[in-house]
Amino acid sequence: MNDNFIYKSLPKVRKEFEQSLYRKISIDTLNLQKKYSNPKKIRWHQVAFIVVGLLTLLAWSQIQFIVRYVPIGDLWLVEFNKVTSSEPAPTVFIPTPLATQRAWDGKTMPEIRIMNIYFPSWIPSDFLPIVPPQEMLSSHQTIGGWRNDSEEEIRLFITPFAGGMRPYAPAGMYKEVAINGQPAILIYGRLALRDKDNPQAQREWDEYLGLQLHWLLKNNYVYTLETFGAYVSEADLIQMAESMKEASWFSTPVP
Amino acid sequence: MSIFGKVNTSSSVASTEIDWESTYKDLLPRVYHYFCLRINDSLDAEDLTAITFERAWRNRKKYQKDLGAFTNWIFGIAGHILADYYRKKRSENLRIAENSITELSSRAVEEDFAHKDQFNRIVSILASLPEREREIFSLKYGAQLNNREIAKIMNLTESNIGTILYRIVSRLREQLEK
Repeated sequence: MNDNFIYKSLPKVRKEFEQSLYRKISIDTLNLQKKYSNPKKIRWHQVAFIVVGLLTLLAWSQIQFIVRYVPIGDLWLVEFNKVTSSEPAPTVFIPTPLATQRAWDGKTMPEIRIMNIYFPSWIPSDFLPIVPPQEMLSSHQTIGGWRNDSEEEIRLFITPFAGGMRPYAPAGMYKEVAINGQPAILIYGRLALRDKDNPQAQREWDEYLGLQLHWLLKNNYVYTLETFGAYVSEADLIQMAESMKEASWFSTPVP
Repeated sequence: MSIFGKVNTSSSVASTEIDWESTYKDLLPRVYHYFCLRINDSLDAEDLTAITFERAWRNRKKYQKDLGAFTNWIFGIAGHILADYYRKKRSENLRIAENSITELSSRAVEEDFAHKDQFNRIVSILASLPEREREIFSLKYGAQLNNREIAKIMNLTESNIGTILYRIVSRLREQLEK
């Protein structure tokens, strides 16, 4: 096919145009190289993007760490979303004189200047009284302890109600129960170290470590029964709490 | 030394780097002729050619070792720019096909008069062709793509392209000889 006449008829590119475009894209190329050799300038939309990202991260972290105060009877429970924590327990305690005193199973009760303390009159079978560990740094006072042959324990603590005691638990890990018709908080499990050998390890809520029962008695002390192990049932713990009677050994001096 | 960076000389071997200066010299008239055949206005063709190169040149390094891909890419850009041009012209209620034969002849002052006249006649004949045929013709004689490349762009077979081009060229020759 003879088509040379078409090629011959095509207009020539003007030299001025060819050269000016060459210069223009050369300059653009140099500018482009210069631009990429310099640190990249931050544009407004990039700044906005970063700000939005930070705000989203902040909102997410707030949701993760948010706590809710749930009233149960006269007590407040701190409900938190996060089931792991590297922080100390969020419970709020205010130290009282009781904290420095020693208490145990009732037979040799320390010299506590409380006139009407309560003590369970019913203990689950196979549990025998023990001397509970002394917790010098705690604001709550251990006043009783029991252990069975499987090394499972029950401990009884008291905390002045005025001290603002706040039990804590993740959502779904607690419920309201009644002790002799009065509202109480039953909590499943507690925070435990992920690595038992490392005290700095992150802690994680373990619902199978035992139960906690918190309730307020008329002497304005919050009583806490806590189990360590799976032996004691929810019903046993409530029965134990309902069996609380005013003890008569408070003037017993510390041995 | 080329301002675009000195590279190996061969532009036809895929594995070697492209000499952008010679590529520019090769592609510039092809892009320009493609636009001339499509829009019949030498100054607008220059503008569109400039836009095409400015747009393509920044990213040419992506095709450092494949001139074929770069050529296809630059004509892809040219196609988009042409479509934009037509859209803009339509909005101005201008009919491209009827436009600027005289304008071309008055502006392209450097061209040889005989060739210019011939080109104007060709363009006026092309203006009566369907859009698809004008595009095929422009890709062949303006962009200087081969039939296989045109077939790929137009979604036709290579033999279809050959037939269409043969028909157009025959018609052109026939009408130019009148």
